[in-house]
Amino acid sequence: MSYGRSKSDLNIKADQVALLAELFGVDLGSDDLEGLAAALSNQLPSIAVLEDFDLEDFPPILRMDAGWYD
Amino acid sequence: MTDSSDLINLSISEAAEALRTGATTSLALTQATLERIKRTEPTVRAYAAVPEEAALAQAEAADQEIAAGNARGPLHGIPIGIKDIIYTKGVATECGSKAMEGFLPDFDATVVRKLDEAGAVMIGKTMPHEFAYGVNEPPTRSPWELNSYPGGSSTGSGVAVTVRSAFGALGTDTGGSIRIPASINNIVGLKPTYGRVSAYGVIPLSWTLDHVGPMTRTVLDNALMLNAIAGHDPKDLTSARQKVPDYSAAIDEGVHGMRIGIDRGFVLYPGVIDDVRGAAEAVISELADMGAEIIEISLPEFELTPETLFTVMMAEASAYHRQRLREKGDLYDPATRATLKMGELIPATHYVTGLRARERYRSAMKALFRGQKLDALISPTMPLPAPLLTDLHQPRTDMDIGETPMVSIIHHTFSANLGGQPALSAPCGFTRDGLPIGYQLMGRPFDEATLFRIAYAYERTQDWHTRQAPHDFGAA
Repeated sequence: MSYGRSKSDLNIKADQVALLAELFGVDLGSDDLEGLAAALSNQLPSIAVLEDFDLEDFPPILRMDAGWYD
Repeated sequence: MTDSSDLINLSISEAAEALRTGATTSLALTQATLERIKRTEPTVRAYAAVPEEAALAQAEAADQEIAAGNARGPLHGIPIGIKDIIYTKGVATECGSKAMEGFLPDFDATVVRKLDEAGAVMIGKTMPHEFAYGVNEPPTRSPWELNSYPGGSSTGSGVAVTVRSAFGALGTDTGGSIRIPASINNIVGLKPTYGRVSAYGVIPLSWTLDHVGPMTRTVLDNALMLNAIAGHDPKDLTSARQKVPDYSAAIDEGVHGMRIGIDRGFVLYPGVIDDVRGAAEAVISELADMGAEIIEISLPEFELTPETLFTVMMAEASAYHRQRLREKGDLYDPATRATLKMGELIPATHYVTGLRARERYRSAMKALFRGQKLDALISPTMPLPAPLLTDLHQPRTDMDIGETPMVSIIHHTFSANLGGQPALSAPCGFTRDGLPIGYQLMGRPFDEATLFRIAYAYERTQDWHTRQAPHDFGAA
């Protein structure tokens, strides 16, 4: 599942995914690699949709209640 | 009132009245519901588990209390389904996943405890998409069209309520998982404000986007269920301390003078089919006829909501599942497993950018509501009716918009999760093929009462919500 509407021509290769997965400790079978490469090629450029909006004045939403409860 | 088909067709409020007057008993309601489950389950498979003996015991206890003059309220003695990602003490909670097979929680989720305190009968655990992610195909089938998408991830909750194998049910909603199955199944579903209903004891999909809420056949029933489950919970650090009103108290006060906004550019975009467009316009006309003011608005930030939600949700879901995926990855459905693995490869910088985009959206929504003095926003719940299961992930063939039906389905529901605002889906018609259409109202934080008022006013002008799925489950 992914939601990439960007028109980017990013073309992530299966061996790149394999390298990332190894670095991050994600166990991927060879059957998964092509599908994940395609899905990531679709998903990662979607950040461009967010960055098309000016986020300069917007800190990330991080809310924590520091109360101590039983 | 002894005929079981009469009993299962009662709304919660009607059943509560029948219990109050002695026209029926909780035991009769529960037996009729169990009978209905036996009749419908071979076809629709809405339930993961039905603890029959426990339900009958709860019903008998309810009858004794009511007979002794100790009725607890409108849910007392009413059979309710619980989505199977919500902890139920001593009753298997398997999240639609082999990775959770046989898991028996040793405590109730706060929402389950609250329903128990209200006297509800837990009739069963309803089938979810695996871990509520929405990417696998659960065994549940839609009674409206067996080959079509039954909605999700509160799949079984939506189907159980529409086939009358529960009077109401709990669902959870991270990007539309209450409202989408509500729309598809011709019922009412509410995603409350973030923090309004405790998520303690609910398996998370995405901590900052998850909500628990009621799914019912009528707007009033939905308000009654929210009355029972809303409120601060010290066990849930995200739980809000705002006072909980009686959501049914002012439900019939109408919409005269209310200001209801619509962003036609976004919610009636080219992906919306004509039947849905027409049904949504009819709701708007009806509300205007009743005295609401319809305000045309434009919120460019709507455009960033799908990508923002996916980025945040995927990162949080993969973080939650990281350890279990390594221990029991082979037990996950392949589609869920692949999506969780992909989430681990999303950079942290993207996640933080998603949280910034979320703040921009939230700020813009707040300014819009305040600037325009809006009471609610309106849209179709989904741009299209339930697609065929075989078409779900294929590019749409009815129009060239570069979307699959699955992506279209969630187009209108995401934003309420990002902003944490309450959003309600209710029936508003049928396509020419007989599939239900729903409309969505989104409101101010902690103002669910206004959404109930609007939806109740509209519901009284129509009979959409009384129509049942055409599937024949055999004679009663």
